[in-house]
Amino acid sequence: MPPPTDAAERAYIDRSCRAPVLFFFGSALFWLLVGTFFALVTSIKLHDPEFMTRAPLPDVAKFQAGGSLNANPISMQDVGFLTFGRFRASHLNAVAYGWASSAAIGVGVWLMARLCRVPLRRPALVTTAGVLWNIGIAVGIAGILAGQSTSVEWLEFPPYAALIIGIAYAMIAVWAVDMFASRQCDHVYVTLWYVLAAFFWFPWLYATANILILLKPVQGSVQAIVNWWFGHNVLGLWFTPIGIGAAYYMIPKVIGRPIHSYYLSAIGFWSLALFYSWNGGHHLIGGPLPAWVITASIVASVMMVIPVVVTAVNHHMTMRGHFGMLRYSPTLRFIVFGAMSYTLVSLQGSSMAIRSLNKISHFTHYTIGHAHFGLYAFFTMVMFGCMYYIVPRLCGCEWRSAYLIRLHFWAAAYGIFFMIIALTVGGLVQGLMLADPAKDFVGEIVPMTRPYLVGRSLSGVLLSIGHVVFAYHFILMVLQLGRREGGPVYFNPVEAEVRP
Amino acid sequence: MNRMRNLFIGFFATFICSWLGLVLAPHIQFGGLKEYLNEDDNQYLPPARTGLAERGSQVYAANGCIYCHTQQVRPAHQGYDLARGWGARRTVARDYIHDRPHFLGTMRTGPDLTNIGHRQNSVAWHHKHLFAPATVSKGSIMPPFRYLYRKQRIVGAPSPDALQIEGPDAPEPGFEIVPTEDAKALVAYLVSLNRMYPLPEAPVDQ
Amino acid sequence: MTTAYLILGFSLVAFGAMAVTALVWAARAGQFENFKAGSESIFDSGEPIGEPTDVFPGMKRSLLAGSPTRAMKGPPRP
Repeated sequence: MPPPTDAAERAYIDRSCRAPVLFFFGSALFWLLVGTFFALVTSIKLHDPEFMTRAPLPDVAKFQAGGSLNANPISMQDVGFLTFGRFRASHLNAVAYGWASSAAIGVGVWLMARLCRVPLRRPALVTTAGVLWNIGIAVGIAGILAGQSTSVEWLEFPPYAALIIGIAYAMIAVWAVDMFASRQCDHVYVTLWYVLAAFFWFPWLYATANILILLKPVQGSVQAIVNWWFGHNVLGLWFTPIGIGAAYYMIPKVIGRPIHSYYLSAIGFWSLALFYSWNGGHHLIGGPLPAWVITASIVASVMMVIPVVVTAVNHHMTMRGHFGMLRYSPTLRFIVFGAMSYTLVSLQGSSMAIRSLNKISHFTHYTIGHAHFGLYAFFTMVMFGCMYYIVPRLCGCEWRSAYLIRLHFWAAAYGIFFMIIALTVGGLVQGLMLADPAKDFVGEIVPMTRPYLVGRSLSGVLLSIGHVVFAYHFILMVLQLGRREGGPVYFNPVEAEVRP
Repeated sequence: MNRMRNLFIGFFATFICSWLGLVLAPHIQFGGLKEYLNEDDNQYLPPARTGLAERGSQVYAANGCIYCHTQQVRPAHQGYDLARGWGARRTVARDYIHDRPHFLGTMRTGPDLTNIGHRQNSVAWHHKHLFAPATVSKGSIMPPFRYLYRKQRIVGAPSPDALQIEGPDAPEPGFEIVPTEDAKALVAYLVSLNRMYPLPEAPVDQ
Repeated sequence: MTTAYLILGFSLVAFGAMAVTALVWAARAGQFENFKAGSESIFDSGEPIGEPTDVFPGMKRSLLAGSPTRAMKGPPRP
């Protein structure tokens, strides 16, 4: 039964994504809230180490000493699962794999269906992968809290959880190839390159890193370079292509204008793939590795200026004359915020790889600020924007409240802005003080960083407000409590057909 | 299908390039380093760890020490590490051949620990510091690791390894604080961290 | 050391060859022609060029539909 019109066909394809994509979005938001909780507690612990160190448990010592449980049933006991190191690892993994990756898969699946112009194939495979993915993350975080973290940054999940996640991901990759092979489009739009490449690269990255660091470990220093080859490629070859690819679709689509230069977008894609994948070594400048490894990564990091500027110019020229639309479109607001952050954070990243600045910024909160700049101000904002566009088309109703969307946007925008400022300035001061050996570490430098850390916790409260608001709004949509009256969204094929 | 094949060849080519350069080539070049035998005192460097210290490194991993402490000393031209007295020389790949996983770290909320066993080799100090960091290091924001210690009733004579704690953290009369096996292992590991020895590729007078 | 250099040299050559092959293929397959059609492939009769597809809920659609440029650029200039 071929659908009668373009609009009806599109609506049909959108609806076919409904269950799997909403499942990925829903679980992404769940992990976002969990990750935000871990983040807030971790952040507070950093300036107030006694915060939340105890949990109510039976007092074993008194009990063993002959007391009865009734006389002294429960008291506050120090527990390991609340310690900073485990909470911080849980935060990173909950937001990186639980939130960002789930959102990326959801957006990627929807984009693939739309751009291949076929209804979602094998929805059960996607949903099963989603269920496994969530089980993997839950098991992994429980493992970290129980003290089984591998202590390898970005790979903290114990091997048994990583295995579940790897299987889930391989299922997505297989699905993506199948979907692409059955495409009905005449032209492979550039977004599809990005999404497909990301789906292809990530399982390979994840498997290599897990095998070489955890299952059959290579020697110490080689582990470090594999670790950061992986760690940076999670950003460069997984989150970035999905984020940039989504922007290449959403910006033209929302404003109704083709991308400024399609040629530039192709150049941007291949230069990104080529240079970003070599960036990892810049996390180890000055580290125990041969100079050539580090230097190659520094060169590649600086070369990143090419794809970044190409993408920035392209997005800007597409938007030119249409910036007024930012007032009217929630999607555009989030995505343009994200795209601009991408330019800024990438240029910052290139500069941080240069030895003279790295000497100061390495090992400080400056780097943490950079990480949040990339993963939140760029990637998370783009994902929010995509979800604002996609969810109404899946649920068949309009977002309930413009006020809630605005609240979410401003909480997120101000929150991340203040967080980056606090960490960047705090990190620079920290780095400069560290460079002066006369400054006492615990006596002078630690007290100096504390106000900035408090500032970071406060900005985190703003972000949390945004997340709760968005999650609430999303639940309303899933419960079909959105607006029914005619909106701008063409999710209704009947309405679309009667348009002149 | 032609287009799909070519697209995938492109994805593969760009990716394999970095895999060869940042994974395989380093592994071939310095993934098989051996201990160095110092002929003067017939000692293998870096020295192998004791079983207890090895177990301590797992406690170090489980509790996320790497998020605030690095274990790498950069050369003099690439930072202040030597000037701060965190080592006698830069660290090199051979220093880490016993590490599983690696603990290089990326953040210095706390000081570098490459040579903490050289700077502070008192087991009692480390226990006290882990139990209540601010009592021995005023102004410290290190989290307390009290959960690695156990409060128990004193039976007969106090245990020899009981912590000498005063102030608000002190146990009630008749009770004492003793380290668990994890705490003992962790301290053994910290005390074992000592890379002050010279290596041919990294002499101390560097 | 020598093995590492060999592998690096080999991968550089292999990589260069693949890059050239890809470029030749792309040029032959017409990937460098007709960029306009490529960039316009995401639009169709239901969502044509010139028509925005997203506004805040509750906002009047007439604000955008049919007159996207006005909505985007503000009130028309006299």
